[in-house]
Amino acid sequence: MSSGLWTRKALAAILIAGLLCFVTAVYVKEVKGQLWQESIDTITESTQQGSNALELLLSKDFESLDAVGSYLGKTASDDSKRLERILSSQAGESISLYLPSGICIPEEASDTTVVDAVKQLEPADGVLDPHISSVSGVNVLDMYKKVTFSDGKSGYLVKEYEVESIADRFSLSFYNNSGFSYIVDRNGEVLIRSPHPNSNKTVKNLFDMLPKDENDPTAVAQFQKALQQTENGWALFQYNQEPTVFCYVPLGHTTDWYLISIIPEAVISEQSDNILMQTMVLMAAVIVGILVLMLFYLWQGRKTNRKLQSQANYISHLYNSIPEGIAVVTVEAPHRFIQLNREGLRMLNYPPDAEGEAAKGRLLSEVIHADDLEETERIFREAANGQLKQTFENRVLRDDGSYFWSSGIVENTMDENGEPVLVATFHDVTMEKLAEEEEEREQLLERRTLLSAVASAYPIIISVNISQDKIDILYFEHGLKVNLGEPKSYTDLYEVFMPIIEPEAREEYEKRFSLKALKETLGKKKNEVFLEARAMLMDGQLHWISVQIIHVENPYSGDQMAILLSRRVDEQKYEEEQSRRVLRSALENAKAANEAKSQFLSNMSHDIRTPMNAIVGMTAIAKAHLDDRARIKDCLKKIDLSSTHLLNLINDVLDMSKIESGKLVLREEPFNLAEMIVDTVGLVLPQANSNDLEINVKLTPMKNERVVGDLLRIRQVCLNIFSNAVKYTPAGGKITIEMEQVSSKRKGYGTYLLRCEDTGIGMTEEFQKKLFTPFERMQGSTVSRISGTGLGMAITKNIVDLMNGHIDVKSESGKGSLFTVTLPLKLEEAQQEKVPKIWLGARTLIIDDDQQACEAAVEILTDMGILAEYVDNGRDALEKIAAAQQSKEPYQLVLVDWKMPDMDGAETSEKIRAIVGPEVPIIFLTAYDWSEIEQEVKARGVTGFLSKPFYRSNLCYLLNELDEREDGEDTFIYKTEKFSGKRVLLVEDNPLNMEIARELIKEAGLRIEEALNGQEAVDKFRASSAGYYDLILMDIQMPIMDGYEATEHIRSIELERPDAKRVPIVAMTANAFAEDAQEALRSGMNDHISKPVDIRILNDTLKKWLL
Amino acid sequence: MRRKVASAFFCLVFAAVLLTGCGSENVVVSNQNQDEAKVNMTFFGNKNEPENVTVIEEIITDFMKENPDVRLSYESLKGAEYFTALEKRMAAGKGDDVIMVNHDTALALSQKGQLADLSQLNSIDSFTDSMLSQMEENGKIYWVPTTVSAFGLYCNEDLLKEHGQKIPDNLKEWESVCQYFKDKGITPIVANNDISIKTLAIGEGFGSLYHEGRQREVFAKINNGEEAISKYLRSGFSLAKRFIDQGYIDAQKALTTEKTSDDLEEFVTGKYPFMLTGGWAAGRVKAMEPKFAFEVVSYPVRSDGTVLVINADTRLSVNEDSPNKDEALKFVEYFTQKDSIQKFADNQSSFSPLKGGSPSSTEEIQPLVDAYQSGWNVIGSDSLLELPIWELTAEATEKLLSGESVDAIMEWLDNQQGSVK
Repeated sequence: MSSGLWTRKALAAILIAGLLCFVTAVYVKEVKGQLWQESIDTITESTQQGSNALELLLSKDFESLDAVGSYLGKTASDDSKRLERILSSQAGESISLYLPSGICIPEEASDTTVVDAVKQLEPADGVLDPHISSVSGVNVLDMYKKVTFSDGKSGYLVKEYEVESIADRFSLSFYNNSGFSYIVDRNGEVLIRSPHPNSNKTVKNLFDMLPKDENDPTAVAQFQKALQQTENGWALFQYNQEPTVFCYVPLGHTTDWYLISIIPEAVISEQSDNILMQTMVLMAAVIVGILVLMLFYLWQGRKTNRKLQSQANYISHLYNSIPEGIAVVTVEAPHRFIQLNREGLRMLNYPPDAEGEAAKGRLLSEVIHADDLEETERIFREAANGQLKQTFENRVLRDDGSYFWSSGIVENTMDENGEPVLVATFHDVTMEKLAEEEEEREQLLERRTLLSAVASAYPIIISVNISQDKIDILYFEHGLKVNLGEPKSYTDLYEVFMPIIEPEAREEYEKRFSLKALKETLGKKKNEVFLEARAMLMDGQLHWISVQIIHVENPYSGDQMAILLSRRVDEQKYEEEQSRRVLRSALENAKAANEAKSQFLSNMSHDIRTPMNAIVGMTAIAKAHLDDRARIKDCLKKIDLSSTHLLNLINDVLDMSKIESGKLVLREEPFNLAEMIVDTVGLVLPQANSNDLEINVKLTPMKNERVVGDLLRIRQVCLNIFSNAVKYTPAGGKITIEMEQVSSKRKGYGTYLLRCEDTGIGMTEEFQKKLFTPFERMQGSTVSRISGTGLGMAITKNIVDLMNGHIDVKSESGKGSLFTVTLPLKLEEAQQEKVPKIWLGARTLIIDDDQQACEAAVEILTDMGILAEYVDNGRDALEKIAAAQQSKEPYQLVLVDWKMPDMDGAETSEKIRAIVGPEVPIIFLTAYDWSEIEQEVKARGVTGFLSKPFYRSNLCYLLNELDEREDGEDTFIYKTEKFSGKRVLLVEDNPLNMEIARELIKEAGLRIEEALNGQEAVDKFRASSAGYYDLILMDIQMPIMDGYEATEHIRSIELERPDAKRVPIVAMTANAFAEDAQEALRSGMNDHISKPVDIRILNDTLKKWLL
Repeated sequence: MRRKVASAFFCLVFAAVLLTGCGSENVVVSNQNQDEAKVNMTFFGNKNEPENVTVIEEIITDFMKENPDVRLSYESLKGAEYFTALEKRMAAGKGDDVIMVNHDTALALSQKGQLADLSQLNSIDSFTDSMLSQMEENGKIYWVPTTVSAFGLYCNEDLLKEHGQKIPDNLKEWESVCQYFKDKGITPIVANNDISIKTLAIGEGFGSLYHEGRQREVFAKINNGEEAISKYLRSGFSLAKRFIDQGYIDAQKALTTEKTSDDLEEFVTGKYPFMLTGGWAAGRVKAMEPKFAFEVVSYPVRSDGTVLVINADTRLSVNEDSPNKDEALKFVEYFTQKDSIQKFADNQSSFSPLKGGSPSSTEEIQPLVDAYQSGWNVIGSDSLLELPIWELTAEATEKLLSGESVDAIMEWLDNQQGSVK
């Protein structure tokens, strides 16, 4: 409800209340006035009656005085005795007769006041004002009556009243003694006062009772005047501090007295006030009641309104918020929309802010799809006819022209005005519809897909109702080459197959597929019955076919349902056969592998035993010939060989194991690749030489010789390949090793190509396949003589793979092999070795019959800034040198190959020396070990040696060496005495190893102290003074405390020992792998030497840490 | 809900019908006449000016409130009339229940046995000893004073100031001021025909007796005739005579001047510097002319100071023959309660006869208060004196004002003394 209406209602309520108040006030005033008047009237009445009573009393006494007077009148005035007698007999007490002579009868009653008054009396009768009797001293009033005697004289009969007695009799009281009365004269003198408790008992004059300062003098004067004029009435004055009513009534003709009633106004008003108060209370109660009723009504109305409003809101909210469209439609055709709720509007694509009336007046036919219109109108018609709720489903036109599927209910009902309307609730079922269609499509598709899927495998698919012996051919393709005919029942179908099944299988067919059998088994004992058998098909040949009947759950009836599938299985049968064969071969392979492993173990046993046998045997021989030095030396050499072989064998096995377990870790260290190749070739060279093999190493000048990689592993790869080549090439064979750098696409990397070709026994194609698998070795008479672990190539292949490289082999049995290794290696950023300045521009001659080698050397030297020339024989060389010697630019360096036809290197050198004098260095080039000829050629003028092939590094090295030599420095010389005085703590638990180490180190001239385990080492170190030990050689695997732990302990002795951090600790251990070395560094050691100890490595290491 | 409301409504209507008495129309109700008073008493007194009776009115009203069975009406007559009426009433056996008496009437009535013994009143012990000495007579008490009235010299401050005169402290000063005004043609002293002269005479005459504490002794002698009263009053009346002769008092005028009535009206005209009358009239004087500045002092009749004449006043007695004697005693007891007395004494510009009574609050009589508390006090009508001294001196005053000689008056007084004996 609007606030204005409330305001109006409230105003109306206030107005009514105000009006009521006004009416009440008027009423109260009126009633008060009336009550007041009534009270005054009552008081006046009472006063009047009081006055009447007194008057009545006086009149009676007057009458009696009259009677007495009449007796007296018959007597003469001077007959005192007679008068006295009459008086005493006729008149009562207190009646006296006053004679004109001043005599009073009886004499003793003579009141001087009366005597005086009588003299002046005019009227015949009257009342004398109260006065003090001169006889009794009492306040009296007198009534007198003139008496005329027989002698014509007159006297007065006087009756005396004691005022007190009259006062007692005329004491008027009003309002429960609150009011009282006086008799006063015209001047207000109080004549008679009642002994009333509330009356004023002391004041003499009425007007003395009215305080001058509290009352208006005019009013008082008016009151006085009123009394003077014998009026009657009432007056209101302040008396005793309260308004008081004075009601005055004159007493009558005999006196000028007044009877005055005095009553406090409050007392008079009290009654009327009480009545009014009760009336007011009643009125107030009525008004309050009305207000309460009104408020209650308003509150109730408001509450009801609020309730209705919230109900309306609630319903409206519901109406608009339920996710159902609600349309109110006219009952009469054509049906029109009256209202649509928000959801309905939304569904019809009305704008979001459209009101419910937006669709009003729109025809139903406008929005219903034409195809659904007829049906919809029929439904609405039925609904309009009051036929309960009708459901509908139709397409409805949206505002944008599209349709949606709606589904809903329509029913006939009343609107808020009681008019019949149709209410249709509907919702969008487009999604469901689409989903339904989609589902149907999917089902169809699924069925088809399934069918075609099954059909692709099974050309015959038949649904069988076993219980009813019915079939339904779902799919049939002639590919099966079976003439089914037109079987009506399963039994027919069964019969069709029976004759074509090969006779051996018929029994089984019957047993499994007869209708009876199916009924008994299918879905009970088994879910599937299957048979594979050969059958005579239409092509007249026997084919493998499979027939299977699968039980199908039938949720709809008790019928036993199944699906029959059948197909030819010739191919599968074949594949089965094949796979069986494969399995068999795999089994055989496994067996072979097992055998290979056994063979390997056997080989290993053999391979290990062989060098062991050599070691043991040779040791025995050496023992037997202790005196024969040459024999012992031979023995030791062979022992050395065998142990080296054994070591290699063990290394290989361990490497392989590591590779296989994926634990191989590659190190990254800078090294010179060319140098590595030459070094590695050097390793196999002795063997090649001993086998009478020719090894050619061709190093195509490389842009980057220095690379970063795992030197050890790359060397291992090379060594494996080279040693294989040496191993498998018969005497007189040739091995060519080539190395070149090819361009690499990866920045910072170089790609290096290593080729190793031999003229050895080669490999069969079959073996090539297995070449890189472990434990394989070329079988054959030749090979079995050659020792090897059979792991080499496998390791090689794995390492190369690990380095992202590639290894390839080309070989032909009996014709040699070619191994090609491609390795991508990181280039070292360090600069190339520098050529000593002195050699820059130096004229150099190379003398070698190998033209290719010469060209390479020239190329490298030129690149290094050296002027290089070559000749291919000694004779030309001598000529050239001689010529140059004469020129301004003689040769400053001559490189001479050892082995040349015609004139060999030694001879050439000798002759050159003769030409050039002692200064010019003559370097002897050789691919062989020059130790045997060293003395000889040096004597013939050779300055130094340079191993072939050339590469930049070794050339640089050579030049540097020559330079230094010229400087007179000899840093090459290894001076053991430099170690003298140094102290080494050797930590080793194994006494044998301890001995070996001790001996080896002793050679270097070091002082040795020993510790048997880590703990002892720590204790010894701790006990020693600072700087006592110069080096600690630490075994790793030891009892009590291992080397790592001991190192950590030593390193942690920090406070008192500043050297504890610095003292070099070198691992000397059989834990020989790269990761072992790293572990050693991690634990705080400085270096790592693996066992068996290579004396050279040991020496290098000592030199490194002690000098 | 509606049914409940409806049933509640009918219940209410039914209850209303029952309450308004829709049943019967005929009713009989008898009223107990509870307010009928059992005792009607009268109180006869000589206090009748409206100002003087207001407190009596209050006391009566309060008494009647406390005693609803009693109705007490007060009747008053003024001056000598009262005592005449009282005597007649008492003689006629129509005496009121409670009456006001003076020294003389009390003496007369008690001798006739018409006064009830008040010694059993609870309030008796509250009276001061000096009052009790006056009240007690042979172990009985026939009257109780309700005020102690003092008589004083009213001095017109404005007039004195106007003439550069001051309030006199002794006889010489007083005479000097009087002479001054006499010379100015102003009669200095307003006097009435009763108390003005006699209190002056008594004050002057008995002053030294009281001061010396010989009054009991002397009065005993006077009582048994050993000594003549004239011996003590002669000087006082002689002083009065001198004042009259000097023209300080207009004797002719005084003869017709009623005390505390005519004299007051004269004095408030402001034409006179002095007035001799009761101190209790001070309030009335003030009420008559609120702007009139005056002060009431004790009589400067000694050569070296003043004398204050006091009286145990407004004496109440109970009629021995009253049929309502108990109630009458009760009323007297009520009247002599401390509160009532205080109220009354204050209203009368008098002092309370009770112990610890507060002095009057009327400012103009403060000098009297001081004198009362410290100075020469003379009891005007000492009950130790078995003579109607109050009446005798009044008559003597009248004679003096009428021109009789002091000797004649003294002789007459001595005769009266003798006749009383």
